[in-house]
Amino acid sequence: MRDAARESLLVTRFESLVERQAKFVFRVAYAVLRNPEGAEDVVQETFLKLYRNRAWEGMENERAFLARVAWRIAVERIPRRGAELPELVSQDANPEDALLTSDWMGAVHRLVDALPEELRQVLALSGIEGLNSREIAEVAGIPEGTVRTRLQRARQLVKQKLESMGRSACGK
Amino acid sequence: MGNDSDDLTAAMAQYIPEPRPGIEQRVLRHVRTAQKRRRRYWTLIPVLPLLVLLVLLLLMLWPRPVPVVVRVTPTRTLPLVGQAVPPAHKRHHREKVQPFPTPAPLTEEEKALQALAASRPQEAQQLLAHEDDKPIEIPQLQIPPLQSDGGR
Repeated sequence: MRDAARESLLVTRFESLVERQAKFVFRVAYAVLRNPEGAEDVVQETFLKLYRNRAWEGMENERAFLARVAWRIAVERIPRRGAELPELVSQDANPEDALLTSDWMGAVHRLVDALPEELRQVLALSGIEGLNSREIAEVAGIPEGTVRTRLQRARQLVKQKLESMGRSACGK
Repeated sequence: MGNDSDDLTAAMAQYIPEPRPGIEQRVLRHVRTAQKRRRRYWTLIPVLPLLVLLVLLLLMLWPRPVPVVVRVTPTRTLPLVGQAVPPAHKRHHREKVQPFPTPAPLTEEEKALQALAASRPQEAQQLLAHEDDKPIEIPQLQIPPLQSDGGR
């Protein structure tokens, strides 16, 4: 009887965890895969894994913990030769054209997509609310200093490209 | 520069799209279904040994056909390794099967017995029967005691 009550309580707690964090886990998975279907699969696998091994019961920082689990699952699902990765880049032919048509946000996203994978992932994670450099380092399994360096480099590359595109757009 | 940085931060906040609505329900449904499937597999585990036992019992009780033994007599012997194989016309002569025991001409006594059996079969039968029915007599053993020569 007591076991049944405890089980019921656990289920309720798990359901509320899913309600709270499903979208966050989706964002982390999407930052790696850039594919909504793949990201949702990762979310389902992450929560199923947590439910089965009951590791979620004793976690201290649930966002960091969930992000780490989701990150690992997503990284395992990255296509070997990056077949799915250029999806967003190929939607529109040229970021410069997008800039000309005042789709500035879209152009930035395409530039981010064109970054080297290690820089892109860190920059994408930095865009998720509540994840600071230390947490990104924990999630990606790299030193915090490396995260900062990569973030700086990624931002610099995007800005340079935006500036050169702006100049060429004005020139036209 | 600071303005650019803010713009980039704002752009990155929108880099990741929102999931399709109802992701929480889909996740919970998936977890429940997976758990049910798992429980079903666990209930199958005690059933499996029983099934195996049942199959074994059926196999043991099933009537088996009696195996037919076929005796194969060798028609010819193979030549030993290194032995020269004789040509075909000589081989045919060699391969003649010899009857066993080898027939031999009758002796004089056997011929006389044959003639007696042909002319007087009853007497021949009695003669043979008497000889066979006689009990075996073993003469009593008589061993003389050893004589000593007085230590010589």
